[in-house]
Amino acid sequence: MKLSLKIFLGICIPLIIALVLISNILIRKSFSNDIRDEKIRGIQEFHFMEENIENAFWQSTVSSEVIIKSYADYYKENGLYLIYYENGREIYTSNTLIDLEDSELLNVSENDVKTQNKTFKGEHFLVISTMLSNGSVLVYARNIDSIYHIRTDLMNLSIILIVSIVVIVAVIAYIIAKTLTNPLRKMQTEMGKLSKGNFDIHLKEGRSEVGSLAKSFNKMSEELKNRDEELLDLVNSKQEFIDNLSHEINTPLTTILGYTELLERADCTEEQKIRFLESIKKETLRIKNIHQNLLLLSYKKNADLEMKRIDSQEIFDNVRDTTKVKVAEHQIDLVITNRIKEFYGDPTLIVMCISNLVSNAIHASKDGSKIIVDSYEDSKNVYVKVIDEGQGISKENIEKIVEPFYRVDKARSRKNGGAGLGLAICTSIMKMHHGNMKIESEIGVGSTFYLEFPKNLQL
Amino acid sequence: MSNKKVLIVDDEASIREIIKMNLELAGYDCFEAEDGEKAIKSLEKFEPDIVLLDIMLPKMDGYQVSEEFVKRDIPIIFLTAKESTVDKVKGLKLGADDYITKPFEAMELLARIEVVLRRRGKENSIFKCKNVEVDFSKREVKLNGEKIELTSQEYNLLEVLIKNKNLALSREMLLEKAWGYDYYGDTRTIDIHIQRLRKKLNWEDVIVTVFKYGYRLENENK
Repeated sequence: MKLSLKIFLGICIPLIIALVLISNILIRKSFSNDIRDEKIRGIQEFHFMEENIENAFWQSTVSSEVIIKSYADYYKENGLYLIYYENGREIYTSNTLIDLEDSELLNVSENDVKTQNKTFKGEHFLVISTMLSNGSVLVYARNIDSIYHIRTDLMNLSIILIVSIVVIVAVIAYIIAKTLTNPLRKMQTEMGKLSKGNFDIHLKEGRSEVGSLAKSFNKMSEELKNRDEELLDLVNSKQEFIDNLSHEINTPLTTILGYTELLERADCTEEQKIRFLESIKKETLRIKNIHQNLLLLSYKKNADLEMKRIDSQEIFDNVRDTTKVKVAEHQIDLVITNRIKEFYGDPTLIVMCISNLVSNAIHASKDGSKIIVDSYEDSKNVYVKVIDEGQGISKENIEKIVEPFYRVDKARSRKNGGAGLGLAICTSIMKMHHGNMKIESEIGVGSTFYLEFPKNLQL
Repeated sequence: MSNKKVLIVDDEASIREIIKMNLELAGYDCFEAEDGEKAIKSLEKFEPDIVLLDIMLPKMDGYQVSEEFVKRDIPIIFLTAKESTVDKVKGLKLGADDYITKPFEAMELLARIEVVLRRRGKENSIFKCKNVEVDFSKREVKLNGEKIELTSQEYNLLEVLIKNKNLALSREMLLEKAWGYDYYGDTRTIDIHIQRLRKKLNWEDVIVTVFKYGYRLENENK
C-alpha cells in the first residue's frame, strides 16, 4: 500500500473511530442518566399518588375502582396512566396499550416497589407497581418517549458533526500525506534515472529522515558513477591490450606462414631455404617469449611466489651474468654498487626485474656508455636505482611505457627482439613484492629507474 | 604489356621479403619501403600501379600515408593485423580499394591485387610464354599465332595456373579454383587435363609436376 494512503488512513480511521466511540459513549451515558432521573422522579410521583389513593380508600365510601378511575382521569392529562388489578385480574386501565398479563410487576408485595421500562406498540413507558393495603396491585405508567426522542436527536446531530469533521480532516490528511511523501516521490524519479545509466542525480539533503536518506542516495550515486567510469576504463584498456597482443602475435605468424608457403610451393634456392627456416624458428621463439611474458603479467597470487631472504650479492651477480652478452655487444661499462644486506622476495623475479631495466638502459644508450646500478636501504625499504645517460624519455611517454606492448620507437625495439612487455612485467613484479617503481627522465640527458622493495612483508 | 609495378610498405623486413618474392614469381615488379616517409619519397622515382600499405607504421600512420596515393589515383590495399570493422571501414572510407588482414595466404593476396587492378582497368590481359599467347579479355589462346580450341574446363585450369605462376598448386586447390567447389570430380581428372594442356600448347616443361604436391607453371620473366 502506498505510504501516502497509509498516512491518510492513519489519520482518518482513528479519527472516525474516536469520534464514533466518544459520541456513542456520551449519548448512551446521557440517555441512561435521563432514564434514571425519570425513574427517581417517577417513583416519587408514584408514592405521592399511592398515598393519596390509600387516603381516598380510607375516607371515601365509593368503590376502589371509581377512586382509581377518577385519579386516572386526572393524571391522564399529564401523560400518566394507572392500571388496577385485583386478584391478578385487570379491573381498570387508563391506557389499553399497556399489557401486563404475565409481567413480574404483578408479583409485588405491599412495601415493595417494582419498576420496569416497557415498550408497547412503539411507545415507551416507565412502569411502576406496588401492592396496596387492600391487596390490590396498582400500576403506574408514564410515557417517556421524549427521552428517546432526545437520544435520537443527539444521535443524528453527532452523525452530522462526525461526517463534517471527518470530511474536513480527510482533506487536511490528504494534503499532509501528499506533502510528506513528495520527497519520496522525487527520490523515486531520480532513482529511475539511475537505472537508465544516468548517474547525475542530486536530491535535496536535509536533517529530516528523508533529508538524510537523500544524502545517502547522493553519495551512492556518486560512487556508482565513479565505479562505472572505472569499469569503462578497464574495459577499454583491456580491449587495447587485446588489440596490441593480437598485433604482436599476428606479425610473427604472418612471417611464419609466408615463409612456409614459399618453401612449399616456390622453387627456392638452397640459400633461401636455409634463411627462411631460420626466420621461421626465430619468429616461433618470439611468440614463445611473448607467451611466457604474458603468463608473468597475469600472475596475481603471491602464494605462487618463492618469497625468501636472499643475499644481495647473489642477486647482483645474477644480474651481471644475465646481461653480460648485451653488455659486451655494446661495450657498456656496467657499474653495480651493492650497499645493502639482503633482499626479501622471489630471487628469479627480482633478477628479471633489474635485468630488464639494465637491458632497456643499454638499448637507450650509445655504445660504450656507462650504466650505473646503485642500491641503498633505510629502516622501511630496500632501494635499487638504474641510471643511464641515454636518449631519455619524454614526459608524455613516461606514463605510457609501463603499459603492455607500448613502445616509444617501434622499429628500434622490434629489431632488438622486444615486444614492449619489459616494463609492464617490472611493474607487475614490483606489485607482487608490494613495492614501487618510479621513473625520472630527461630527453637527451638520460633516465633513472627507482625500485622500492619494502622490508617487512606481512604475508 | 610490361610488368605491373607494386610498392610494398611494411616495417617488418621479413614480411616485405615474403610479399616481394610471391609477387615477383607471379610476374610483378616490386619496390619496398619501410615507413611512410620513405614510401612517399619513392614516388619521386617511380610510379607504382598499386600500393600494399601496412596500417601500423612507425612515425607516420598508414592512414595518413594513404592520402598521398589517393591524390595520385594509385590504388591501395591495406595490410593489417587488426580485425575490427571500425578500422576496415575507416580504411575503405579513406580511399583504399581493399583490405587484407594478416596472416594471409599468398594466393589470397595475389587474387585481391588482380581484382583491384582489373577494376581500375590496369590489369595485364595478355600472357605470353614460349610461343603461346593467352588473351584473358577475349578468352583466346594462340599457339604460334594461330587460335587453339580449348574446352572451358581446360581454359579455366590454364587461367589459374598462369595467375599463380611460379607457385605450386595442389590438385585440390586446382579443382577448387578452376572448377569450383561443387565439382565432385576425382583429382585424377586434373592430371588428365594437365596432360591435354601440355600437349596442346607444347608446354611439357612449362607446366611442371611438383612431386607429391601438384603442378606449377614455370615462367621466369627476367
